[in-house]
Amino acid sequence: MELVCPAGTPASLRAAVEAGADVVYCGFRDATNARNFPGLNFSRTELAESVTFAHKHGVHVYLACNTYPKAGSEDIWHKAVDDAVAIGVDAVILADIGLLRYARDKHPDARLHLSVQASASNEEAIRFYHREFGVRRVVLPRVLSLEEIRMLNRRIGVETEVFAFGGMCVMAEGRCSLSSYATGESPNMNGVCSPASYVHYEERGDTTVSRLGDFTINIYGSDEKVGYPTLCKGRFSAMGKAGYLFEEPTSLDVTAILPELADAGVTALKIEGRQRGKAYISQVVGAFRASLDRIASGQNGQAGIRGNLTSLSEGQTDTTGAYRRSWQ
Amino acid sequence: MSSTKRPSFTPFLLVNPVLRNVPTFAIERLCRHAMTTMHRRHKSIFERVTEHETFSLLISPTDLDMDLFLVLDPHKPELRPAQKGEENAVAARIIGPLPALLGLLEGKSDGDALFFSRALRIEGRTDLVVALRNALDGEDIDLRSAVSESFGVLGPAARIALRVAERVYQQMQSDMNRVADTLISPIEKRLNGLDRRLADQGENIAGLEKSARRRTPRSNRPVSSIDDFALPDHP
Repeated sequence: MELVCPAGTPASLRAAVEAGADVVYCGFRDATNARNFPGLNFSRTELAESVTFAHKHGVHVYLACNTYPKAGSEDIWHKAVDDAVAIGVDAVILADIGLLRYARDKHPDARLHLSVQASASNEEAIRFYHREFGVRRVVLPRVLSLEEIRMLNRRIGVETEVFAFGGMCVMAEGRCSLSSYATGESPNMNGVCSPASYVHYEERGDTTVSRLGDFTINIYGSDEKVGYPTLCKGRFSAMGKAGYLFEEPTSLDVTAILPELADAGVTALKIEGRQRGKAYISQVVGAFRASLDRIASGQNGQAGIRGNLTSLSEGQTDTTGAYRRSWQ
Repeated sequence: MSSTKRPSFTPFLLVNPVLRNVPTFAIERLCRHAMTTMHRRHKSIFERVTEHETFSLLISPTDLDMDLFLVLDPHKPELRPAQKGEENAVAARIIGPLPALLGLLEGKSDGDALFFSRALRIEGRTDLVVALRNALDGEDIDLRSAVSESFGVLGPAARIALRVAERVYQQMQSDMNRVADTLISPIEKRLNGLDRRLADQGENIAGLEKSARRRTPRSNRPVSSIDDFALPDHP
């Protein structure tokens, strides 16, 4: 399986290449990608230099242009696709059907991947994107079980990429309005989930209070690990009880089920975390590289890895998410 | 931005008695030199992080009796010991043990992971701290080579001295961890015992409440006056 790794800066891209990535994905420094955070992402020059560096090491680069163009500003998204193709990225990751049509017509030879933001989770949807826009790979939403992925792979004739490690999203990828509700800025339109300018932390005695805009997201006790300040990971009180109504602060980790994912016909594994530092990237990519190499040589892929990655996880706990889900 | 610093148990704690007796001008000079070197070697950090505004931060190492005042300006950055009351004059404050802060500076530790574990705390403008973290992470900062370069022709000797200092530091950290374990383990054992007893008591109370409920006729049971999910009555 191909190891697809994140990079928020050229230094992170180099770290991913050195740690054993097969592919690095990144975005331009604007609203065209879903990790539009302050000080993050690539200028056109940085991307061009990074593509040269990666190609020299036999590593591919994908450009995520996976937010939804704002009405009247489509040219920003069109330019991002044009520039990415001119720079020579190996694939462009898109979500919006208008943008997919633009890329198909303007750059018929470009390799197009369907972003998780498009939320294509069934056979008909994936066939549609493949038939209409020539999409060659689909990044599957984190709602599918292993069995469903296996079934899809038997039927669709398009490569599939699945999330392997990192932050979880509530199961409405590409359609989340929680951040917009609290801050007026959207992950799907502006590329910002819980923008940092709306986030505030406050120390109250032994507790840490996290706030997003006018909302208290969580109050962490002194012995609790902390998660991201997103509404979907908030701990809310209802009927006298406080709990995580949507999702607990935890990270996905599929190290334990790598052979099963390969057996289900998955083409590529995606590590989440373009917003994370190069220390995270080196460690996670290195661990997955070692694991995949061990599996390729017939050994146990899990040995010695799991403990190391837990410290990097949100809330310092991990899950196999929907892959082994017990709910419907 | 006035939360207290709880000391971290690192070898830098042992530097404090010395630090308290070093003249302020010497610390200021050291800070100035560090900032000039940083600005010369990594100018792009300052340009990137101040793309929208220049700002000041308070760096609060939890293992030092001193805070640092950092001005991020693309042309005239500044680093100096902070004075009393300056926590109100900055955009944000970063609080954490010095080894973790240095690890972040060099991109050797992950800021989010330190934050999840609560080794690192942020107060004030989170967006500026995130922008700084990302700008630092985008550069390859090598403190060893920056220090040895500062010593000019004595650079190679400084590099060796630094390596020895690092070894000594690691040995001290491991010794301090053992001391901490020795001191804490009896208390930890006691707390674990108390935890277990509390959990048992909780279960007992829950059992008693359950049996009391069973014995009370349904009509006599108290009804909660608040129904969080109740919809308003239609007229």
